[in-house]
Amino acid sequence: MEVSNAVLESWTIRPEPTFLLAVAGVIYWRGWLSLRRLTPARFGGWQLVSFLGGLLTAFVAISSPIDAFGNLLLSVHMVQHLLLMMIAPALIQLGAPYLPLLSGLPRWFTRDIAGPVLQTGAAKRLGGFFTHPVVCWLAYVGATLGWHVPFFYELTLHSSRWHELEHACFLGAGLLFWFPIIQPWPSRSKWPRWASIPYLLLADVQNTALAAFLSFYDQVLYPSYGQVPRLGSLGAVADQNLAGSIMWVPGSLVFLLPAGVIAFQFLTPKRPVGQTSAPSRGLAPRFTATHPAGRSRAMDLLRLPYLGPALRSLAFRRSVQTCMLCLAALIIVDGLRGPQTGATNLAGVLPWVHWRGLTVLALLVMGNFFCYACPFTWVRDLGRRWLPANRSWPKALRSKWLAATLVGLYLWAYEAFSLWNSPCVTAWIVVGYFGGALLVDGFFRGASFCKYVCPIGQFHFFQSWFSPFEVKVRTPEVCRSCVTHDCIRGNADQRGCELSLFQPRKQSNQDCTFCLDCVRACPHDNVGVLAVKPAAGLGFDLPTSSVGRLSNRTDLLALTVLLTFGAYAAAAGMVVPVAVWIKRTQLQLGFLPYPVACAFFYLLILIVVPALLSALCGWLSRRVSPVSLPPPWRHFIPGLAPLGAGLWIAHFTFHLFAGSHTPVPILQRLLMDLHWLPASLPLWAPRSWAFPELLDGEILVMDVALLLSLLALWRTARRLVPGGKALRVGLPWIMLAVLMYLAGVWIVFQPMQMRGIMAP
Amino acid sequence: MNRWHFSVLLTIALAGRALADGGALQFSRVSQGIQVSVFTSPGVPAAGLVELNVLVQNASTHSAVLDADVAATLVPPNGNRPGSSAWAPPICAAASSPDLQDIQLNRSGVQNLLCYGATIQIPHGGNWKLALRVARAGQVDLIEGELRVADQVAPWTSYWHLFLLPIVAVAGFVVVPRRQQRDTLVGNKVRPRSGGSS
Repeated sequence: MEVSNAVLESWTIRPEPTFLLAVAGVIYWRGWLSLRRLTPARFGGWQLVSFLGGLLTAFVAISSPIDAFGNLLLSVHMVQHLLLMMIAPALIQLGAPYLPLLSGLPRWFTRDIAGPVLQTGAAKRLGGFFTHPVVCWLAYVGATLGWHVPFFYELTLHSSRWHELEHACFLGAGLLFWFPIIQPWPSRSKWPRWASIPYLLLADVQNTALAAFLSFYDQVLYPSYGQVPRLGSLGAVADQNLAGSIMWVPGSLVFLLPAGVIAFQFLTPKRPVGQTSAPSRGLAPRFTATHPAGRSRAMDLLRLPYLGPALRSLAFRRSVQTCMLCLAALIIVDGLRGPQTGATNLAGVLPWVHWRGLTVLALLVMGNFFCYACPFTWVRDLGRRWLPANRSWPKALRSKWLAATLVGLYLWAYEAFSLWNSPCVTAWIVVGYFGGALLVDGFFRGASFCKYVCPIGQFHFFQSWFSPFEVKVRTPEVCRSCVTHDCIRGNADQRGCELSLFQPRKQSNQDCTFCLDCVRACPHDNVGVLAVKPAAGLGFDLPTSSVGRLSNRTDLLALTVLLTFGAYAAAAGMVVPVAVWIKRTQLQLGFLPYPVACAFFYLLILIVVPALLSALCGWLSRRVSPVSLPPPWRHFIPGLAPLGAGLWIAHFTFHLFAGSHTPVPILQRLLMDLHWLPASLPLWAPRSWAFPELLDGEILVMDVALLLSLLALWRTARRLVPGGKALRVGLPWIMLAVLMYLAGVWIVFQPMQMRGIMAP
Repeated sequence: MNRWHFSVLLTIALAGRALADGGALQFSRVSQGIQVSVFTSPGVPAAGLVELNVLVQNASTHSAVLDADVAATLVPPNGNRPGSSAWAPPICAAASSPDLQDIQLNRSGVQNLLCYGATIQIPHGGNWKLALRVARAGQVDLIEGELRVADQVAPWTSYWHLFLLPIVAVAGFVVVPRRQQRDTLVGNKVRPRSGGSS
């Protein structure tokens, strides 16, 4: 590779800033689309291009070779700073980003969070202060001069944290500086337009002074640049002078060009200046009045182009299920016939690393789409062509107890028999799943297997409480006038909901497999996949169709406990200190077989600990409650569920990212086994998506989980004890949630077993 | 309700960080016509994960040498055997090199593709000796230098901002509605009531 190529290819795509910039772009784009429909004259295409260009400029500044070579050449570092201070912020402000960003956020988020916060007096005063031209100018000049003081500049060259802070300051100061100049709609100018000219010229004066100093100073100002090896013939002083010139010439142009344009506008009599903002009357009412009363305005996945029709189509679902069926067949074949080491077999990798990780990510981003793609129900539907499927599921089994038992058994067996490292057993589990689905639903009516048996389904139902989408009625009024109820009863062309969920009374994703039969059955096209607030109903204990109130369902509460505390048991089982503790206990208790030691561990974590903690917290709540309480654990336990969900997400994404590329050598091996590839040695330690910042993400997930738990517990306490004593009643459970959060964070900090990965 | 949403907003807003990088120079040596410069990230290396980057240049023209074979060996302070590993983010355990002998440095996966690099896990602080073997066109150069490694601070201190988030969010949950209530009260006092509005 040539040097020039190496330089040009020195890009580093860091996940965090790239993700944030991409999210900002998507939010703006959504908001811009909706605003453009309302006021096409106000939001033209150039604003979208400008905003996205600003984001792209920031991305180039922090990801391109400019960043890679900034610590070797001051001139390159200067280019990076100019991009972050002058170009990116100006382009972002030209996109008039405030309304599009607010409109592009989920509606509930804008209405319930951003709106109230922005309407507080403190936020208004703070906004007024920071957008005052004097403050904006001082912030910009202060950031420019301050960070160029050698002490601070050296700090940034030796510490990535300080460097990050410097870049954040530059971008923030740039956004403030360009605000009064561009005056993005709908903000109003505080000063007359002509004042922008001295504002820009004065900024240019300080820029010129600093640039001249760097250009003419004949000693190295920043010692680090005197020490680093030189690239090519450019010496340290020459590099510094070049940096000054870059700051001087292109930097000054950035100030002088807009000053010239404003002066020209000001001197042109027919083009009055200072009218950048039009009165916003009419916009707000149109936001609220464009939709028919009662109709949900939430985002609907089924209304999206391409995706909506695809999701609605049964053929598309069958295609996805067929793909999953083929993968399951591969897993079975390789699990039974391939090598019996987990990391070298598809049965040791695809189900335990990729499928589980992708499942929780899909649940987090969209919803229960792995039940939608379930291959077992596809085989079941095929089997029903020959099997009677006419019996009623036994009344004694119409609960979640069987499923809860299977979940508990699965959690224990996974650890006790190292299922991730037992391809053959995994293959038989998959075969058993197909057989179970075929037998249960082949002889019994409805989706009894999904509702009462399937432990995977229960996991999905549980996690999809926190999904941002729900299969839901679009307009409740339409359902009130409906007499056929096809969504549950079905019709001649389409069966109704086999899980007996009546759409108008459905309150959450519990028991919903996202099969979308109700969508296809509804004659009024009134069922969609709508955006909802994640965990919206948690803590309210609302009755939902076919499930009832959670507090009345001991079986569902037991399942909640299993899946919440099971997250802790499963994650703790793979961290070294706990694994060592289990081994030591095994020895101390007279060399118990490992499965028995595991059984003790799981009994402790899944039953004993939750029972003791619930009893203790319940007793404390009752002691301080001014009124007689129903059994507190029945109401408070669901409030702990987000912490379990958070830990499942952290745990499974950890495996997914650590073992992202593991199927590649396994497929190589498989193709060689089939003689479709020439024999060679697969690279068993492939690259992965592992990156250190994943831990930040895991902690952030636990943070959000804790906040959701606290919210649910607070709601529960307020529901049980209205008034000022609610906090006292909820406090023991809040303390328990905090303890569980700390335990979860401790787990993600521990060294973990790299399951499903070959040691390098 | 609003208070909790505000809390979540704060959580997400404060979590965003603009990232930047750039290793800092530790030492530079010239040997047999080549200049070898060693960079580390973080700039002040501490026990735990350290990115080691080595730039090999022609000493006279300063052009980068891209076809060398570079390996590094870290010798613990006082020649002792390295102790138990320092903490590193668990996800990095598979990616970092646990062995400090003859670590192969290569140009894939480094930020600056003129450099040869690897992520290493230094077990503890002290003045480590870094020995580099640079082989190129049949010529082998051995370069040594000292790497001052700080002791590791408690791992959780690097993540303090993330632990602060729930506290800030709960504080926001308490404060925002009170401010709203106060603003409403003040607004009602200031604004004279206009009767007759329905």
